[in-house]
Amino acid sequence: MSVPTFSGGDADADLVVVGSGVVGALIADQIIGSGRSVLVLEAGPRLDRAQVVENWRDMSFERRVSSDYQGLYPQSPFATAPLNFPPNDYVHLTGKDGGSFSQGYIRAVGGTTWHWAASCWRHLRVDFRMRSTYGVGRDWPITYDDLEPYYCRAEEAMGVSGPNDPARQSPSNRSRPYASDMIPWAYGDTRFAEVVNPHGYRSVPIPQGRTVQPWNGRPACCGNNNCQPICPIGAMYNAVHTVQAAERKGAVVLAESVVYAIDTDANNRVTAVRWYDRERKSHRATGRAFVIACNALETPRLLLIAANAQNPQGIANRSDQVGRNLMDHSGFHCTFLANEPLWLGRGPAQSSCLVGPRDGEFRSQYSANKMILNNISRVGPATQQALKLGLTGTKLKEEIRRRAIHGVDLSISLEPLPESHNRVTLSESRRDGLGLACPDVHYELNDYVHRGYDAAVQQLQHIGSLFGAIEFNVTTALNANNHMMGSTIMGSDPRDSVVDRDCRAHDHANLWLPGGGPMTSASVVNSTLTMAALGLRTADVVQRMLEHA
Amino acid sequence: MHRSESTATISRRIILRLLPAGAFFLLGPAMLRGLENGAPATADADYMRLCSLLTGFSNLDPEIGARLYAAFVHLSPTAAQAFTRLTPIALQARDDVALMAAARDAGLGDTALALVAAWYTGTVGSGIHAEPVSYAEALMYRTVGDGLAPPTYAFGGPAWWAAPPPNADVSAPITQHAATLPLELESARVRS
Repeated sequence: MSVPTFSGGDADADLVVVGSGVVGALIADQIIGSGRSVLVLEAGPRLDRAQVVENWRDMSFERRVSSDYQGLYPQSPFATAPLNFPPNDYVHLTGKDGGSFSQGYIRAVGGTTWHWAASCWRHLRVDFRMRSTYGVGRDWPITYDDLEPYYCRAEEAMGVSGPNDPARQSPSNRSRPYASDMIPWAYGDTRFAEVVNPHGYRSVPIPQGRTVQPWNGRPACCGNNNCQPICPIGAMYNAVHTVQAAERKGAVVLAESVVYAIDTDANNRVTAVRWYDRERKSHRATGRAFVIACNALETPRLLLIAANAQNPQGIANRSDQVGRNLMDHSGFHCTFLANEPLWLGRGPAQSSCLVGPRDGEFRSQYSANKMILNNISRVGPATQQALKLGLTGTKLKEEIRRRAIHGVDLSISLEPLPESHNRVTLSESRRDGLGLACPDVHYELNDYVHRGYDAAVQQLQHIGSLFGAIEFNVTTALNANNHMMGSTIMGSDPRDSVVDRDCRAHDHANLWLPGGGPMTSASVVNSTLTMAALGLRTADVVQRMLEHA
Repeated sequence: MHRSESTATISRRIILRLLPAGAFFLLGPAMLRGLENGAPATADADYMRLCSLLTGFSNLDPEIGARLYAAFVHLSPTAAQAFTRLTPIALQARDDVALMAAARDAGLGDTALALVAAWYTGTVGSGIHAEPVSYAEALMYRTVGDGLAPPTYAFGGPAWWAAPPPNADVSAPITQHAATLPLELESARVRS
């Protein structure tokens, strides 16, 4: 077993990984498994699941019903993450659609897989060819077929259950079946699909990182309906599972270790990163290969903060594209009361999704969408609504039950295009606990998204009519989905992209920036599986490089 | 969950009679000092009758009742007096409708509804000063307890949710409230 060496507080490893989320963890686990030493530097703390569950239960009703998925997670004073109750303005938002980019992400060992819903979607084949096919956005320098084996490996690494019936897959271009068949649907998913599918909306099972039988040391999902913001039993895939696997093999993971500088040599290879420990002492980690996987907001922030004499615009930023082309699935919600009970809230938080509007010729004109049938219990919103009616006693009880079991919440995602003006920059005035610049985000969506919104609203009105919907409401302000992408965009031309087809920085032969940042198109589906697949593809390249070093 | 800097007075009798002996110590020293200040006496059983009539549940947990009360008093200097006035009204009322009518006549309608909201949501107040009191015991969960567990709790073993849900036992929604209900009830939602 190869392990990092430490001397006077400094470290040396074959591979140094910055960030312990799903991407960093998968790479660390593979490289330590190949016999190379691995050091992982994580800015945030280690978390105790039971404490986080208690923190959630101890939050006020208002915060829980408003989906405050950030406030329950303890933060390091030296690694701030966004907070919303009240807002901490860590990420300052500007631009016409800045308000739609209020991201929730976690800086801790395991990253934001602590509060994802574990939806594990693949991009479609055409999503890699948006410019060639529809004349919008960019093409990736790799194809679906290049990534397909890694999608399979990511699904296996994360223990994904998905539909093995090709007619219910999106997409069905698969070289291997899912490790486990689809998570069984609850009545609400089944009935919703029965009603909408004859009209082309194509409700299909969501592939998800959980299983209904014990899997690889993970318990079976027991439908605690709290995937977001915290699975109470650890049945949902969390990068912590992979971190722990890597640690058992000898990887060293240092929490509360904030990387702030990157050293380069005459050939612009990275020689070391420097980090602050929890006492604010600086240390240096040398290595042969370096991976930065801090999410598509923190990675460009670090690259910009780490500008050095040789790279005055920031690390990996000769193209001036670091931080640009920032994307997130622009979201909105449609709520209504159906004319029949659907009993949403039984089972995991998301199990079915309408993918009919995911692709079509219209994508040359406006955004595709997908509509998740949220399966988070409607009891909270039902209670909020019933209380506003001023009811008491038996009438109140009945009204809450009526609204809870008839209530529907669809979460709709739209596809933004990569645009250079949407970007992360460094604040000139706001500093974090270490004195490092906080991130600013400027965000203005193209009409491509807004036209996609209009098309989706028409579809939703039709869907509502199929259920005799009352109190039909569509939110008008777009919301964030925490699927940050594009800010270290992948391309074959170093002049207009940050990383190459292997997620390697064009400017630095031994630096990789895998994850959401390289994603060249957003599609409309949750980005994690694509990020994980890119991470595993990077791991293969890093492994080969280390074998030949 | 109680804050330690309480300066409000609370009803000695409610707290002393409703709390089990062990739970008493959970109130903390500041809360106990509050007790010593004295407050208008309100019979514990009478307060619980008020709560039962308003909520429609007869088997309420008196410890939660006492903690909700303490949170109200902590958050508002006039809460104790309002509850003291409201409680005897409940003794005269035949049902919750009559109680609410009498409470409104006495200018206590909002107090009564706030008490209902606290029992159903488990939280007193809103915003950053809100005081969470109960989670799984919040009455909202009882309204669907035959088909849904409070989130974080399991209702059964793996894949329990594939079984059919219980009967609705309520009528389908009707449109009468639609016009009066704010459309944007969930504007604060930010997550998919």
